[in-house]
Amino acid sequence: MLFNSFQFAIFFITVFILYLLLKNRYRWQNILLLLASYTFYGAWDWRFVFLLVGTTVLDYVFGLKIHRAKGQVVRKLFLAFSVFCNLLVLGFFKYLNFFIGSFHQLMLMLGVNIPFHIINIILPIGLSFYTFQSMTYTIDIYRRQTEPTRNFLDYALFVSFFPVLIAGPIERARYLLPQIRAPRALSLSNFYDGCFLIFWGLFEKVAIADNLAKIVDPVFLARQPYYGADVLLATYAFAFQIFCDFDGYSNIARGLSKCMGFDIMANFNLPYFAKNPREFWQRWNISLSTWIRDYVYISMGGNRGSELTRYRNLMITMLLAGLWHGSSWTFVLWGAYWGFLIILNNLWGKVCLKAHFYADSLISKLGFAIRMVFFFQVICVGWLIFRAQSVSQLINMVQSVTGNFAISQSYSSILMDVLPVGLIMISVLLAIQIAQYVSNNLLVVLSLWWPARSLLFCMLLFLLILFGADYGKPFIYFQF
Amino acid sequence: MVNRLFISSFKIIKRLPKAAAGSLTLFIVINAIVLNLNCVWQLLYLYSNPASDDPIRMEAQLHLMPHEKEKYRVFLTGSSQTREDFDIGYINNQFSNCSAIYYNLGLSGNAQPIRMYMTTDSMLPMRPDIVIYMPFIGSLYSNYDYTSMPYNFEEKIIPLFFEYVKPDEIYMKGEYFLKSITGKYLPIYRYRDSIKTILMSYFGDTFHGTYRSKTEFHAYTNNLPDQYFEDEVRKAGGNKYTESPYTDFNKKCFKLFAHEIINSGARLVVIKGPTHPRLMECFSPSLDVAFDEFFDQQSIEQGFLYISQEEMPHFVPADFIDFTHLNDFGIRKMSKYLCDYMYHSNLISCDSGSR
Repeated sequence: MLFNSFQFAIFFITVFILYLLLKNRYRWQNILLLLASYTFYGAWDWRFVFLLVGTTVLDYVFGLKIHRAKGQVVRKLFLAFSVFCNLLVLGFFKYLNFFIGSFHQLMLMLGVNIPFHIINIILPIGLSFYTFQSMTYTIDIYRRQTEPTRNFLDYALFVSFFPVLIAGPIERARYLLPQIRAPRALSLSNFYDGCFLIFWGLFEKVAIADNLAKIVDPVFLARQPYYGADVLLATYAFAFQIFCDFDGYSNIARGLSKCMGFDIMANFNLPYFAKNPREFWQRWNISLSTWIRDYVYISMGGNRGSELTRYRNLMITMLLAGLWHGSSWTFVLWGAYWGFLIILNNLWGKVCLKAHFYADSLISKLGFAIRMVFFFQVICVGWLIFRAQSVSQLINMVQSVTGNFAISQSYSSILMDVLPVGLIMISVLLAIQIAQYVSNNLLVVLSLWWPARSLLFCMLLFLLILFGADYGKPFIYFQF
Repeated sequence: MVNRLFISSFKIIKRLPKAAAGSLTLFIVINAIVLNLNCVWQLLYLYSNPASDDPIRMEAQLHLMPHEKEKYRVFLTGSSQTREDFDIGYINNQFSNCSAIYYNLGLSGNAQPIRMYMTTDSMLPMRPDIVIYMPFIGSLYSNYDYTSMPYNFEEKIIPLFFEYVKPDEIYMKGEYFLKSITGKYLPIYRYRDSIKTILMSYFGDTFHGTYRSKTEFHAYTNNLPDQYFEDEVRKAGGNKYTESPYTDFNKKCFKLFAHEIINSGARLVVIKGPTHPRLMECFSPSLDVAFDEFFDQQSIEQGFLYISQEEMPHFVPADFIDFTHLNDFGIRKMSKYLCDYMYHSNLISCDSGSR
């Protein structure tokens, strides 16, 4: 059940009406939401509901055991079991074939031919998100940052909460559980804000991302030869496609939650306005980047230790962040690319400090906009690595940009149809984002004078109806 | 009590988001204004592409028709066969002195009676004098194409779906119903694909300094090779058209379609669409017989004219582009036949010697 489908609209309206009817009875609301969440997940594939229940029960039990355990060693043991079980599930469904295939390739390179068999494993949708979300519970209990809940249904709802179940944001137990365990304030202003977020999220997904997909897919799904200009245009389009796709989903998730009185974290904060790698990761997929920082980087030692140790921790963290996205070497390369950039940025900062300059003083003279545009190119190189279907395709595409910079005839005819619409949509997006950046308020639109808002909403509605793709293209991050 | 209700309702209205209400109001007003501008419909009509934009072209033609009738109105309806097989310019030229004007309202697809029945609500208010419907074997003996539903949807079809279609199939196709209902009240949603391509064509032409002067009706121009027919006959295996769960549904809709047209005072003429001789190898000959029998019987029961293949000119393979669409030779033959038939059958009164 995609968020951008009629079935989901009917589903949510039904759930929301029942939710409103259960006003002042939050326990019953929780049961309703739990049933709705399992129905939502079961609509994708009913078999994986059991997996969801299994991981939920596991971490609920481990959470209680960690809390009740007397010694630190026992607490650590239970935590290790919890993390191990979650990663085992994730590893089996997501990475088993990848590791088998990679091991086989490595052996072949060493001249050893080991017969192997790829197991046909379906990746359960949302697995990467809800396992990470579930792990925040046991880890936060271990760190004494939160108390376990005695109510299994509350915990089950925390893991399976349907707005965030499939593609995040990855919520922390200490932020979402208290909201589940207490009555929610249902207010008209929350409802209106929620409706705006849903509307804007749908616009980003249906009108912008799905239209840009028509520019991106023909290049990345094609075989050789690649043309440099095709690759470049498709990469730029992908930068906006993936942002609008993921931000759109996150906004819809936030909007749905807000309508029901829940406050979900914003997952993006104008990432393409970043001027350096560290700032980018403070603005992009914030729930994942903070999860990786708090539960991987800091657990490995973080900034403590020598400089080499810190850079080692950074690189491992970013490699894992890349690997989280999928079982392909291009994702690992992408993680390594960002690890390298972050380390380089740190080193650059030190060089500037040592030369008695502030970190960006040399480049700051170039102007804010130029720095942003320059860094956007750096981001797009990362997207090329990310979107490539394989390392060999990546190499061929890079070679085409440097060696065969032309536009293919077939692609130019596609561009004639789609590019004007794509440019209009990106212009609308950038106009709104500039306003958000200047005002430092993601909901700046809601503070405009109401006639201006009416005009804006009307224009967005026309664009959404006229140009919105309605063939229900899945969200990109579903595959992760 | 009433006062309290009024005050609480007023308070609720006051708390409604002005921006949302304002934007919806603006949206409705702009829609209403734009959809009532003749220049907009003229643009949509002129730049519509045959096959992909047939529904919007049909609506544009109906919208642009003058309310005051100066001439006989003859509507040519049906599938892409209707659109392709008649030279509307030639036909109107033949009848220019006869106070008759022909409109080609052919729609891409099979133009099954299920769809045609839904078009009467938009067609009949324009008071046609004659409606010519050209079905072919596929109109009765193939499954319903749900993708065409949003373009001509009318709520009156819903009870018939529940009568003839299984509930699980209706559930599976539920999204089409939702899109159709949305499209019914939001023409901009219904025709958005066509509007996009038409606007792109228009701005493209404006950019190049060229302008279209007439609407294109013909999408198919190149005769397909003999090998195509050979391959298609083999692929069909005698089952290209069969009795389907929608056959009875289509027959019922045709009866209702015919009844509404005749009741409105218009004359109905049903012409069996000419098809390539080799199409007969793709399905059971009994279907062809059943097709003729059905329309023959209906013509007697309802009181309309049915022109079967025997009464029409003999079409040979050289007249066809593919199985169902005529090429230039075939179009000339068909158009001339129609003109002669209409003239000699006195369906349209002309001054003697005016053709």
